[in-house]
Amino acid sequence: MSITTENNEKMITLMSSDGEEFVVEEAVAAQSQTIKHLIEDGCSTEGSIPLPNVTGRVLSEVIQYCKKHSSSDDKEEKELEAWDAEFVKAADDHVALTDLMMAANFLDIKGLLDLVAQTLANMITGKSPEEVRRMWNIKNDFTPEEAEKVRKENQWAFE
Amino acid sequence: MAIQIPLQERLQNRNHEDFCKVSGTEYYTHQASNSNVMEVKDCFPLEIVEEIIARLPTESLIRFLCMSKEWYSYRSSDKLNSLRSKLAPPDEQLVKILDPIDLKVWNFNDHLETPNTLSFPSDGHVTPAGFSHNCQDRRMILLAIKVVLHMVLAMILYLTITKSFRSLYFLLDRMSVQTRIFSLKANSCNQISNQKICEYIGKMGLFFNGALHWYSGYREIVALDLENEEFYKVPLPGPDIGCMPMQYEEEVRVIDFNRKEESDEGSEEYNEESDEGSNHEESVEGSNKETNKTHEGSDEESEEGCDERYYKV
Repeated sequence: MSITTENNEKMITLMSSDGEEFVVEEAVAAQSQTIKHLIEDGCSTEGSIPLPNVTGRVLSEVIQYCKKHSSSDDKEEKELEAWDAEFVKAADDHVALTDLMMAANFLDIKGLLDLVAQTLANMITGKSPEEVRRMWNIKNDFTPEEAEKVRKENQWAFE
Repeated sequence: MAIQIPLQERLQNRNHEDFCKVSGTEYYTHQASNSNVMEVKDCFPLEIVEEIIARLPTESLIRFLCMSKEWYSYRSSDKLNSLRSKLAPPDEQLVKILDPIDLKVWNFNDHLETPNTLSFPSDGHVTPAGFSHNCQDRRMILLAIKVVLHMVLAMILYLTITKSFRSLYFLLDRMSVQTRIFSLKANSCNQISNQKICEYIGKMGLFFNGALHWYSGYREIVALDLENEEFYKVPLPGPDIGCMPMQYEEEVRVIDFNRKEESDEGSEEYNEESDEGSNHEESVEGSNKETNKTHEGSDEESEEGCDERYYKV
């Protein structure tokens, strides 16, 4: 369903996996290449666009990001960077960031993907293997002998 | 092939079928799960994890990869290395992750009969410091490529051409990049003390006449003699040696007149080496900055047309 506002901006309705509907300007939604292609294919004219693997909570964050980035031009780059930093900080933990990254990947929003990926990478940097293991829930499937060997081969990275 | 599983398995597949039809994209291509998937991959497609870990500093990346067998097997994947060349911290984009067990090389002294295991320090990462198309014995080199990891290719090339049994590579030692020359003869490596050279090692150099050559960025070519570890400068070719001044870019090219008649693969008389040169600008030493500035904005290329004797300076 496409509604037109007074300043003639076409509106798009997005529906999250949990049925929440978001009405956004087309320019905002089109930051997602996935949605942009759907709009180009004419999918937005027959009701809302379903996004079956993005929850309402995550989608609202994504929209927040897209709004900010569609309204800012290049002059405000510094401010935008600061805003981005706050934005990922607000996402709080790696689980929320993980959800955000999955959504950014699915919706194909390069800027958001880069931002979140870098944030997650920064979270891994400097953490001990045990911490990272807990964070990402990675099982240690090495035997003690193998673990020792691998560790020895890569000793420099553990010093 | 991209492993596209952006769908978290724990999420509902509402409207799945409809959406597939509408979108026509491959977003929902759901890969049959391997029996051996890790937890992190259950909820995180591999391509996303790669996006993240490719951004890690080398040290952190290695620690990450050491956490499980499956990750460890990714350490030398081309995909990861190519992602890293774009996404890793700028200083480390050239550092390739290698599998230590593959650091074997054919020793040409032994007439290619047995590969020798080199005493490469396994605590670092090897990256080709230079590459040459200017091979004198193609067969030997192709053979070498076949049996040796391609990352070590540059080493093999130096080896065959110089017969000096030396090779260059750089080793990542914790957070700093160190440059060492590996000697096949001694099966050991020495650190290069000349910091000036280290500036260039990250760039692909062009190898000929026993030396690696780089374009320095300020109208001169710098060269490192592998045999003697000597570092010297070569003036740019000018009209006096019969060269047309060309539009300069950051690369060194060589026209080898001695090879012109052997037309084995068409373009072989014209050997070229180019590199991105983008990282280079940042590594310019303070003292040289001013010099650099005066030439700023002019893309430069050094075209060297001359015979081999010219380089024996």
